[in-house]
Amino acid sequence: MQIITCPYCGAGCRAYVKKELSRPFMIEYVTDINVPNDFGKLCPKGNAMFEHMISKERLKVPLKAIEEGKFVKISWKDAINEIASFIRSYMKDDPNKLMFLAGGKVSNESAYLFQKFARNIGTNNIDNTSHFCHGVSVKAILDSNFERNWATYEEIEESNLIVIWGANLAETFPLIFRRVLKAKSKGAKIIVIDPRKTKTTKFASAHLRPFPGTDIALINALINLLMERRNAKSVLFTASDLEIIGKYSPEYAEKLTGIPAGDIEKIAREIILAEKGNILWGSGIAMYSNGYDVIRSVITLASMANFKILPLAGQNNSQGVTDMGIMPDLLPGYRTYDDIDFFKKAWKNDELSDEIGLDIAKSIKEAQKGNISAFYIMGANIAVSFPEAEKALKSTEFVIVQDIFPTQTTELADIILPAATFFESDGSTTNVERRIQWSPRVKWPPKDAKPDWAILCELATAVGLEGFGFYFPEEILHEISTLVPQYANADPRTLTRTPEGIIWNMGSSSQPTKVYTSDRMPSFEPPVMITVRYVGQFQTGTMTNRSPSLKARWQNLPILISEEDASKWGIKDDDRVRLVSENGEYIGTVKVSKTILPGTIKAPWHNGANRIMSLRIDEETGLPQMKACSCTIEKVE
Amino acid sequence: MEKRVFIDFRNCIGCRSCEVACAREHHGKANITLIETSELLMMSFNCRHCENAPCMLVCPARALYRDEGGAVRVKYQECIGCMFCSIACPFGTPEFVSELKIMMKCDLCSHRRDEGKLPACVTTCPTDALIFASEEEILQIKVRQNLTKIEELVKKVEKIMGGTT
Repeated sequence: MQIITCPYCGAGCRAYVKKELSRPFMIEYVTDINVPNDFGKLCPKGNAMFEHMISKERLKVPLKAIEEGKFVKISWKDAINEIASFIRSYMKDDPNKLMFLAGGKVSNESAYLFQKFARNIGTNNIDNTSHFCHGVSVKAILDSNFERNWATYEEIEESNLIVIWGANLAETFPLIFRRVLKAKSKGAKIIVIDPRKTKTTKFASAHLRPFPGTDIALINALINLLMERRNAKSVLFTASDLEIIGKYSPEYAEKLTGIPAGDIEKIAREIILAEKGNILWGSGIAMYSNGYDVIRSVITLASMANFKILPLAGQNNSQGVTDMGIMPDLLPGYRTYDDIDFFKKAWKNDELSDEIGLDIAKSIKEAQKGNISAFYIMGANIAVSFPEAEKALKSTEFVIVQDIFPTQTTELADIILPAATFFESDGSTTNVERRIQWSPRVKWPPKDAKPDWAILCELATAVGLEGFGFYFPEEILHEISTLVPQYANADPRTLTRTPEGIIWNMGSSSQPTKVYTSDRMPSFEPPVMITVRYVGQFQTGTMTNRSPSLKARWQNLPILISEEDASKWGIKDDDRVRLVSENGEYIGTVKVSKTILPGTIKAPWHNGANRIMSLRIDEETGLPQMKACSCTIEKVE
Repeated sequence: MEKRVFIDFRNCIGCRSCEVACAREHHGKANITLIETSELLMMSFNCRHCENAPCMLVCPARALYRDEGGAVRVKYQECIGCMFCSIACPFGTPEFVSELKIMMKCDLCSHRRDEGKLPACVTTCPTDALIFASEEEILQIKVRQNLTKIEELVKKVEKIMGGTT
């Protein structure tokens, strides 16, 4: 039996396939070897992981738009030639007018080829959709030299204090939550920091409810209390750091966050007493405009208490695409552009650019100004997941979308390339504990659909680039293992024979942790809308809405509002409401809930609530505000 | 007594893994259902395979029987689809499938038990809220849980009172 990786979230769960290359595709639980999902258990998405693949709606042939929304079939040859001639026309003079976007769901091999393709064309305008959640977390960890304390799942089980910050594990990562519960049964304390009461907080020994965006005040207050109570010699703060921290007494933090000062002191005491602690955080703190600052501060807190950390990623290969250098400012293996000569030599191309390229948010902005001529989107539905993306794609001359299903993004494409799903191609992915896992092909792609890496090889050869003569993904993985130091152990020969996967290869860094403090805080006028996720839906629902058993159970996800706000606004259960922000509106059905913090509104992000977020990029941090936004609520008659 | 699926409601996170796994193993029809009784309080419920099963007693076609593993199952070729079993069942678990015109209910994954595996819902449950065990085993688990609680209490008291251990 082949062992495959689940194509949904970043936990990287594994399952056996009972039958290969023919129907019915049944899975079996992996109970005999050490896999990320303890005892082979799976969440509902994992249980339904094959359903989307056999859907009849798959894209099967290359399509070309004759007008917006109307497509005709074309041959692969024509599609490749058309794209190649367009790219060639920009390659010489103005490669920076091209923008390359990859989803966090492509395999490491496809991701590596994608950035190799873009960079060999001469542009660093390349980004992945996980940039503002997991990308920010990873960058913060590497910048503070803290990767040695990056936890594995087993270490979660062994810890005796677990802090879950800005994540609803029971809903988004049930299999990581299992590890937390196992630790709890051994006596560990669980602290959850989340404005909403969730299924996760039911199991917590303490629950703090900061107002959205004020997490940094809570962290600073905790650092302040830790400094007072313990010898903070190992951590070297500068005078300016101390000045910032000194301001944040528990009482001041109470004023900003709304958490009672006594609770903050209690949590600080728990952190001091814990021997083995673990901080897990999710997009709840990373996707703010001050996300980088918050995470650096969390890491500072973790380094003071010597805790382990684990950033949580939403997509199955968020970690991998970041490792592979699908970032505008980082080359594969987190090399900066100072190391560009290494890649000039490796790729035999002297014309690589060493300017930092555009990230997603900036490219969407630039496209609306007419500074982007083409988007190449591989496996991402940005028209639903990013604000203003629809406008940007409409004002772009040429849009290439490579996907498995027709989505709102493919509607706006000029050329659609049918891709193979994750199970229809061999490939490796990396989960959030940095375990690299190989997943073999278990089905042939339908009709003319091809794996992402194969399309890229063909296209790059048509453009006239060298070094894309790959026939198997194993060859690409071999190249990755020679160029990316973290993947040095993951050569194809070993990886394909190791069903348990291989953990990142890390040099033992003896450099001290760099501390960082900040008091940058976004401010919101209530009511604040926050996006939330549900266990049976995934991202924009491209895959989950094509899985019958998931679609039937998770439909019409409600907008949650608190009882106080409901009586204030005169809204009751099942009312249709419209959330209006400066950027657009979102319509949904209301559910009045006791779990919501007054002044906040929770909208399910699977149906495009993200579109009404503001894409205004914070000038100091360079990050947009993608988790929360102020909005008004009105009834729809 | 044979093994049954027991549910530890305290551990349930309402993820519906059991439903989706059951649907996969039973051709798209889930025989275990999860009900959110009030906010953040979930209960999954399946056939209890009663010792004195009313569904078996009322079935006019004698289509319900108890297999060697103790599961109450439907002989599909004999079922006439009269729905008496769901009326008689205090939990209303047997469900009518209109395409096949028969009743369907939990069979404790007979095909998986034949291979020596646990039912799909139990194998997949991420928090071990579903337990496949006999009544005696469940009692033992409960007793052990209570004993550890008492032990903790004793230790605490000794700490405060300055005991010897």
